[in-house]
Amino acid sequence: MARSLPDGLAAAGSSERRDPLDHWSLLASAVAGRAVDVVLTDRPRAYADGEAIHLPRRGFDDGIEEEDVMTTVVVQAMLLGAGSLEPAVVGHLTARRSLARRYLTLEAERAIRVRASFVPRRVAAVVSSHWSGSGSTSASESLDRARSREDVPDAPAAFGAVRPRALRQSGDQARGGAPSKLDEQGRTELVITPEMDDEEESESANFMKALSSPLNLFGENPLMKWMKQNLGVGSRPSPEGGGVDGEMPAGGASWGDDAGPDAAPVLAVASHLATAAPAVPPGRFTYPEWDAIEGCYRPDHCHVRELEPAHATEVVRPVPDAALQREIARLGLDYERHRRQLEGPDLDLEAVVDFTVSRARRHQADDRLYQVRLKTARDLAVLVLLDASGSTGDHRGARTIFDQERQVVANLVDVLERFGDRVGAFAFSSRGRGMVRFQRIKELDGRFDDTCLSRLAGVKPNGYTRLGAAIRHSTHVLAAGGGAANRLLLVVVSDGLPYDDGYEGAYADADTRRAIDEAVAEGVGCLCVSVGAAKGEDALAELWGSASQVRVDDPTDLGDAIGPLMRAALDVAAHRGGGACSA
Amino acid sequence: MTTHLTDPTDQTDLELHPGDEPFYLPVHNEVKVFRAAWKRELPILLKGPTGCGKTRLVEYMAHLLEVPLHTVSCHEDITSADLVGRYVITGGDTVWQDGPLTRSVREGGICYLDEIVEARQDSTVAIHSLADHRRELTLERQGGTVLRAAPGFALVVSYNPGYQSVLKDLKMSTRQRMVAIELSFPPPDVERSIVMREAGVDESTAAGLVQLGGAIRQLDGQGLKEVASTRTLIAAGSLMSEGLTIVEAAESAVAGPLTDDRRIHDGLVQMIRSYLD
Repeated sequence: MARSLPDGLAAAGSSERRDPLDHWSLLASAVAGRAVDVVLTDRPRAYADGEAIHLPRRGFDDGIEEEDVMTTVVVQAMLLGAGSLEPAVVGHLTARRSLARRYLTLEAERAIRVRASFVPRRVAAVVSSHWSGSGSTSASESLDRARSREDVPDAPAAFGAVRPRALRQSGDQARGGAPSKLDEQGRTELVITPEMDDEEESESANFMKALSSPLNLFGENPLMKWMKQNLGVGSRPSPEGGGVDGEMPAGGASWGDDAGPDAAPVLAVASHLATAAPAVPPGRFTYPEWDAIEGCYRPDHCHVRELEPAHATEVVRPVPDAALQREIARLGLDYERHRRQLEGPDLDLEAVVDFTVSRARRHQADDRLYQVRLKTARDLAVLVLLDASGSTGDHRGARTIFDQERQVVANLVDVLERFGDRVGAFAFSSRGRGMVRFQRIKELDGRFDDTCLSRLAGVKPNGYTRLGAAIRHSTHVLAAGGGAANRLLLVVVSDGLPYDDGYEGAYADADTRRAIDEAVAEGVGCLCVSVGAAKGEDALAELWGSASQVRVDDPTDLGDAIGPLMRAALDVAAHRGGGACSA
Repeated sequence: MTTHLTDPTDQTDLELHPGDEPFYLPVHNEVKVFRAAWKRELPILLKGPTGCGKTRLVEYMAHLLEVPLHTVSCHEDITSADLVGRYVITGGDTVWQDGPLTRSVREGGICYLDEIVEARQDSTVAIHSLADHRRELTLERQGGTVLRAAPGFALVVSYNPGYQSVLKDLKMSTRQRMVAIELSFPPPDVERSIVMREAGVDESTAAGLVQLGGAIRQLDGQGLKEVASTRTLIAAGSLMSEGLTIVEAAESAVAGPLTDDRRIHDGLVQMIRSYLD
């Protein structure tokens, strides 16, 4: 039944390079019950953070069986789905590996019951053959039992590991996180904190922890373990952080913990491949960036990730705006057929048949026999892109710029939806080119309902503004989801200039302008709305062009200001993008 | 300019004959609610995802209640004449031809308007007087003749909430006249029996297919517009009964129809191999 993987390194080296793990992410998501990616890691054991399951690259180099990959993916995914990896609980496992492995055994048994309907039968069999003691009813019960003297075996390597720090970090990012002081200052330097690691933590810290926790001394006795490991008693050396226990996995040589001294060259090859074959699972996108200095694109430079923002308890209510309605009513119309008209260029055949029938029956005949095409059909798809970078958290009077921007988004989407246009709304922010986040407030399909309004309220300003990548992704979303609409429009609601790590000044402006040009060439009209008196207003107008950028003092002033801009943007896109229709 | 006259009988794709009872396994109280609403002459609104058994329920109920069934699959170009009827000219004479709605009203049958919001609102305006206490159909083209619905007549409409665009929603005034029955995919044990019976596969195979279906239904917002319905699982099972392996059958009947995206397709195939191989 077990096979070796179809696309391993050999496939990655061929001309059509694909990430070998992409096809596991749907299975992982189904088992977890939410979107989870599967990616490669250089660590020796598989683990999950809040967003992805990381599989050891080395296993693939060694030609691991598909069956073992499946076991690991499913076990980690079901732990995510069963709430076994909540930072509040697993935080207690930090730097306590043996405890973590016993916890993993207990939680795998519990998770398989919680996610029973979604766990492939073969994996269920593997997990229950490892241990079939009495089950826990909650993650915290498993934690207590793992800490106790109960005889629970360590989880095999095939189950992967628990990494509390990875979970905590991704948890903060997924929730949007409160704006830090740095975020709020907008243009401060990005500070990248090196990742501290459970498994790299110094042994002295481990030792101190062991001494400071008498409960654990009696439980699993980490002091003894530490001495065993460091004084060379018992187990053989392992590469993890300089020698903690390196047991062989239960199922034979699958995910080897014992990488040994030959690990380094393999990693060197593999990391080269990682850049050559970027991982693009569903929900993740890569885009090039225009390097004005070199005069060329940097391929696959920015990574965009679509996320679901946290729901807030409150909602942002759209405020009715008659002027805005009037403007948008005139926008993006296409011809449609009107039947049974008194006059028109064509006969309406059905009306003619009815007319003939009525005459034959000597009834009064309806003589509206014509049809005409009038410009009344809606033909517009709009994406509203909200700048959720940290600088928008600045206060302007009682409200922040972000509150006002959010109101603009709510009003605009509400009116567009009422007219039956396809309209989507996303909030974006970035932390370097590897992390451009798109928070999905409303998709182009679907209704602008309270769920969307509470998502809008749940977006928190955070991070920076990598505008070029944001515009490129918006263009992609519109082109892919615009449906039958021929007129596509991108409205960026932003307060400032593009700025991110390695993305500022002339470089950032040039890339943004390039992205706008690409969008227009694709037939997507672009404009920018900013709210409140912005400092660099001239620069903003220069970036967007005065005809595509407008500043309003208050969200209620939007109507009169935005109409001409939207028409102009659609016209430009229609002419430059080669489309035949105009606003 | 294209014009086509639709023969109303084209729309009627099913008339059941006594004896061939359609297979339907009740999941909740839908049969009870349907029967009660029919008895009390209340129109019925069926909600639920594609392929969960809306049409089959109606067929089953028509058989159970021993009334004729006229099904109309609604689409944008359907006109009120397609529903109500029209005069056609036959050799110099004008002859009235009932539409499916009018026939149901006369015969006392069930008229099932499938995916009603796909039809433009002006073409379904005739259902309003049928949906309330009057239960009358006015034939404007027959000089305003008013037909009173025969006993046994029921108006049943279906729609798929997550599916339609904003413009195509059911008017609140129409909805409020109706008794709503919400259907979803059946629970695993029921769905297993359905797949076994309809596709003719053994229990373990059906269980695997149902588990796969349930797992795919977890993939909300992962690039799939629709999930694997009971119908697709039955199709996969039926292909197996024709000699395909379970993986081949599921790839053809489940993964292929759900997506054209290569990446998502590969992900589905991996799921199929994990759950079924």
